[in-house]
Amino acid sequence: MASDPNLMSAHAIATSVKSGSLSARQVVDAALARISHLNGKVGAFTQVTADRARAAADAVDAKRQSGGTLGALAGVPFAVKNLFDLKGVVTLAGSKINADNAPASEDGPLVQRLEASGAICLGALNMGEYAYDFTGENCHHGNSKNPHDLSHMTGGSSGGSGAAVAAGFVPLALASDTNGSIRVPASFCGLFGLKPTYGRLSRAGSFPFVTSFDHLGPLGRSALDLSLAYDSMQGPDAHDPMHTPRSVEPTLPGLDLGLSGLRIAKAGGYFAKGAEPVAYAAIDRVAKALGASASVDLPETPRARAAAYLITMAEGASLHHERLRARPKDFDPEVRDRLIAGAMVPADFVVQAHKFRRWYRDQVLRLFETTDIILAPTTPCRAPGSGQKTMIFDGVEMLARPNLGIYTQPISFVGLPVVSVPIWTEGDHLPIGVQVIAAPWREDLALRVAHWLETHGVAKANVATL
Amino acid sequence: MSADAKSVGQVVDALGPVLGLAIDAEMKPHVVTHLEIAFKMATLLADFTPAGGSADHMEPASIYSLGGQTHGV
Repeated sequence: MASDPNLMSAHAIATSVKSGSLSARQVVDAALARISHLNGKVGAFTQVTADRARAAADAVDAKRQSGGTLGALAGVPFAVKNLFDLKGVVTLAGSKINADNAPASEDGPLVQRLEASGAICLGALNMGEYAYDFTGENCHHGNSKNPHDLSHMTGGSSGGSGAAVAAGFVPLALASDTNGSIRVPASFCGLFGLKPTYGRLSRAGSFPFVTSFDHLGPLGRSALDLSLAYDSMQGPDAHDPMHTPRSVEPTLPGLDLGLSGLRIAKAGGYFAKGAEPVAYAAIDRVAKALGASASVDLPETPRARAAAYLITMAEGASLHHERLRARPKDFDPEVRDRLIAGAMVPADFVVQAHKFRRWYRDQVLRLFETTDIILAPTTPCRAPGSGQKTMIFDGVEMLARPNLGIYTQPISFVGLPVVSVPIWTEGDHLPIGVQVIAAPWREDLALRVAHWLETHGVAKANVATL
Repeated sequence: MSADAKSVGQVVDALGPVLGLAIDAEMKPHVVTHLEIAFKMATLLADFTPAGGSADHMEPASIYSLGGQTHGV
């Protein structure tokens, strides 16, 4: 077992705290010291809630000493993208404008559920403004920086979440994913990231972006840690009208079942062209390890991506219309100008996009009648350099900020559960992700395959050397 | 559908004041670029007809179907 708690997995920390070989207070103090020392370099946290964390750690230790039963995440530090409500903290959502709001009066439900399992919240994390971003860059609070190479992007919009986990500040972070904002930072920062099925985890107590696509989920350094966190957060919540009434379906019991009986295929067509060779090398490595030789085509995916793009523009603009009128100069210009354009998208386009969404969903669901898992690139490239405005995709130069999620957007468009797994190619100092995609409500299968890839040495997440 | 920069710029000039959005000279080229992209994206959807079906009878995916029970969208 690692001697530095900052290098340990959530599972290892909880095991140590339960056994008494490590106190929750020791874990939290070590994390706070590392954050204090290194956050200035990485730009992960926008607010550290140290007093709250120490009090929670002491409560966990007191519970153990009194013979109480500790939860699955006892003593495990975590932090949240700053669009999650934390009691007493202003929910910034990456913006300057929201800084004028009152602090949240209570924690969001996912925060409450993690804490009910013994996890300890250390604070709020940086993000792209209002989550309209794939870079992790923020003109108000500074850019989050990739811990594996500080001159590169973390990816976004959950850039602080990716940075915090890769930097060893916390083993788990909560994030949101509308079009790829969990999976893109997972790819660039070399982490495991779970975007659950649309409607699976409550979004109450979080600042929205595009309600048609918004998902919440965890980032971590192992599939097992994702499973522990995800299982802790499931369950009904009447405060999110899109939240499923399905009962809790734990993933942990099946995590070690291996690949037996699973039908796994690579995504062809749209997903098999345009990316840099490293993205396809990663897919081939994963597919070979899994024995996946088949390929499936998700039909009309360029249209799916276009539809997701249009709905995002229009719903995002609608959400922010009054702020765009009243305080245009207080937005990040790169976000504002996209939102203003979104306010001018004809309703016809949006209605067409929603109609197409239904058709596409039905086609994709048919694929899962003969396939259990589909593999696709998470991003078309490794993390670009900080401040890089454009990227080359399929030989065409395009804006990086809207297009780094070109492979994630069609998947969240129809709400499929995905685990992005981190792949390192020999000699490279930056990782790249592969999406492990399952049918709706089959997070268990995506996590099971991610866990198999990890335990067989194919996927790996490291704490960066800083 | 025509979506050249000039015609999209005219849309921006016309709609900005109507929507109460102040778009200065520095912002306008960026807004036009993003709206141009939206028009290009929309052309991909405009001519879509499902095989063996009719675009007139396509139904949107209700975000409130809470497919919860089935699909989630």
